[in-house]
Amino acid sequence: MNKSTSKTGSRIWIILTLLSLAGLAFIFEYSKTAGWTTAFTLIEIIFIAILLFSFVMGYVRTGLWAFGHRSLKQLDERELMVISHSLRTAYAIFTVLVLSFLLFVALTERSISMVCVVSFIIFAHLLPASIVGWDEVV
Amino acid sequence: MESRKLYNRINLLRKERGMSRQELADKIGVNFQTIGYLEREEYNPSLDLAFRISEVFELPIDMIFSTAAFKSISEILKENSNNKHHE
Repeated sequence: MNKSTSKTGSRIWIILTLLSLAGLAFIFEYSKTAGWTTAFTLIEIIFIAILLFSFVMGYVRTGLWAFGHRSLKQLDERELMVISHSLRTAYAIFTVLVLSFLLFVALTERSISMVCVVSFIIFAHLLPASIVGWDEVV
Repeated sequence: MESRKLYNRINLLRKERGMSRQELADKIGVNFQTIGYLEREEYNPSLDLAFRISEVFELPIDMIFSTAAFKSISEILKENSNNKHHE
């Protein structure tokens, strides 16, 4: 497998993981107003399955998760630069997204569900590793 | 400040000494993938790392790294041959 192929593969799994996480939270929020149905349960189960499968394929098997959570002492100077860049970018993306979401919640006078909060926590942990996986072949 | 591209002879010297990327990486204390980045000139090493590389190859730093592209072996051989003919 060449470098560009593995990078494309990695990007597909990252997109699938993040989209399934967003879908999971969105369907849960939507079902609160539209009413919970069997179809929603089924869609949520499918999203959870995609999330878990793509997480294993894109983050665990590639070593991306381990790389993103490795102790700084175990990283060499290039890896430190990669992690530093990913954390800086992740911070910017996460801040803008969370603040925009909070603004939306405040303007529409909605309540924030536990699923949304948990999704944001998972997203915060996934984001730095996702940026590394997007840019680099780990 | 954007740093200048550094050219190097790491790949040539490593192969000349029959070393694998992993062996060189272990000697200078980096991940083997970093050796690939260095050899492809996609990453400029720190001064400390450059010194460690020069110590492994037992060569001065300026013989391994340069801000100008190195001449290829065939170019150097051709120059040497021309110089001999002139002498």
